[in-house]
Amino acid sequence: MNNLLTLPLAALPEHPQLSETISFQLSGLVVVFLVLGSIWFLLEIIGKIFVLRDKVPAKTTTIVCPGAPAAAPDKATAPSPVPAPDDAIPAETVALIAAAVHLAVGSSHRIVSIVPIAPTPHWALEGRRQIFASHRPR
Amino acid sequence: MLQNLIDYLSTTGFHAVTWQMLVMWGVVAVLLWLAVAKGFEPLLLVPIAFGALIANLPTRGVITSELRPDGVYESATFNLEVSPVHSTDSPASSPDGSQTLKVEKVEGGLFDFISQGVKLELFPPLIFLGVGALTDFGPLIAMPRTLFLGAAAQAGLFVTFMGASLMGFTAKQAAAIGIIGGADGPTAIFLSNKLAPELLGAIAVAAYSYMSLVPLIQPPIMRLLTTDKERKIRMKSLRKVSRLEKLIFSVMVLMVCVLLVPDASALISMLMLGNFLRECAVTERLVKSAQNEIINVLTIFLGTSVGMTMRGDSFLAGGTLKIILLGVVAFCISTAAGVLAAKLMNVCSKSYPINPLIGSAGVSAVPMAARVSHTEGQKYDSGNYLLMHAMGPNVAGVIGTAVAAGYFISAFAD
Repeated sequence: MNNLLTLPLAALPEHPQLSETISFQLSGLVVVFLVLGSIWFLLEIIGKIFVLRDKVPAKTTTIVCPGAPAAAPDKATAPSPVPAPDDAIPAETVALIAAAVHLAVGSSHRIVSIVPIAPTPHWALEGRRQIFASHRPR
Repeated sequence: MLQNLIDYLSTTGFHAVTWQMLVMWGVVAVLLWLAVAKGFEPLLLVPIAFGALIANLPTRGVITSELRPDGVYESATFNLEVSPVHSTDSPASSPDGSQTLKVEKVEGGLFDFISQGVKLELFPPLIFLGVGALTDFGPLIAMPRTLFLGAAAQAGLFVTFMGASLMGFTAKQAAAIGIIGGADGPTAIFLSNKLAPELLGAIAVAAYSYMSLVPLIQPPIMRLLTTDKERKIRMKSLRKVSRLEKLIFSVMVLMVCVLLVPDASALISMLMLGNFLRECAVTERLVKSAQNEIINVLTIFLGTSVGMTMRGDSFLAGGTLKIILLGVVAFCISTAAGVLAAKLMNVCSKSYPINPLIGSAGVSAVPMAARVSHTEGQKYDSGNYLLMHAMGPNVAGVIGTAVAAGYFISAFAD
């Protein structure tokens, strides 16, 4: 089986001529480019499939926080409250966000909506920027 | 008593010390200085240097070296004492002339046996298992164009092959020397053991020395071939690659490489096995072993085994100096080819510019070459983070060097 698979490359003499050497090295480069080019081509196809698969439209869910003040929102600016769907943000997460907002902006605030946003690389980029900025690679 | 002391002195190793050994002690001192004081590739240079020291001491029971009729020292040979099997059930000789023998005794030093891992080409592929388990191919998958850079950086191998041929080396030796330009230690050892075992020590030392000197060798070439504007190019951030995509990548690369270059199978299959173990996330214990115990133990054995081949009487030859010279030429050409390939890609595709500094990472010194690209980029734009982008051509270079080695093997192996 191995013999069937071995490439039928022309074996060079022990001390090849310059022309033979050039021909051999060009063939070698072609083989390397062919193999890596094939992987490149297949990766582009696979990448396209995965990118398309990931492009699911982001859901916009607007919910009223369970613990939000009962004050009537301004109808012109605030979205109308809708009942939380089954796949809504869990109450624990909402509580956590409310606590974080409270800590950040103080007591005079009102959470109008919590909307999951489409995934973006910005947070990852910022994290990476901070990691790189804190190290000095050799 | 005096006679006893004289007799004892005659059994010591002082009388066996030669001038070649003394010179090699100096070489060992330089290698240890590079590794310990300068921190250049210490994980490999320390075992290699220590192995070289042992090889150049009048040791007993460590390794056996024999001078072959062609003037080359062959190390790691052991003796088998055998006797023919005589029994009524199994005749000593079969009708086809073959004989059944019983191994009575195996004699050899410690490294006569450990070095079989190099001679039988076991260690380099097993080290590739660990390399695969340690490598994240995500940057390459996210930006497959960088495979072009990894391929272009193999130009140094083939140009050096021509240079070595012109300098009088045989075609097999030239191929083994050329692989130094790939900056991949295990592949260099794998190929040189297969094609030119007599040059193994010199090639391994050259390969690892130049890999450790990447931060000194590459930057001047990178600066020479790029403009200030090119060095400041900021590349688009890489997309996130899913686990499934990485698993498909491992299997796909294995199949493509084995189908197109079957002689690279040993290296590529172990590399991709290690990577699949890493990415499948259900073989945590195996990944940890591959990333730590297996690669660490093998690195010690591989390094010392290679160092043991550096006997002064065979290493101190004109050929070694030529190999050292050709090695740096290979390295420089590979670096330049990677940078120029990136510039070429920018000419062809202006919408997705590539910072040419990442082209030099196409030599597969992982991750040192990628770090050099990143550091150089930051010298001209401190907010430019090229490390992850440079990892793409860097890991592509590992695959490219293994493919090039497979090409050489398919052309020259007996």
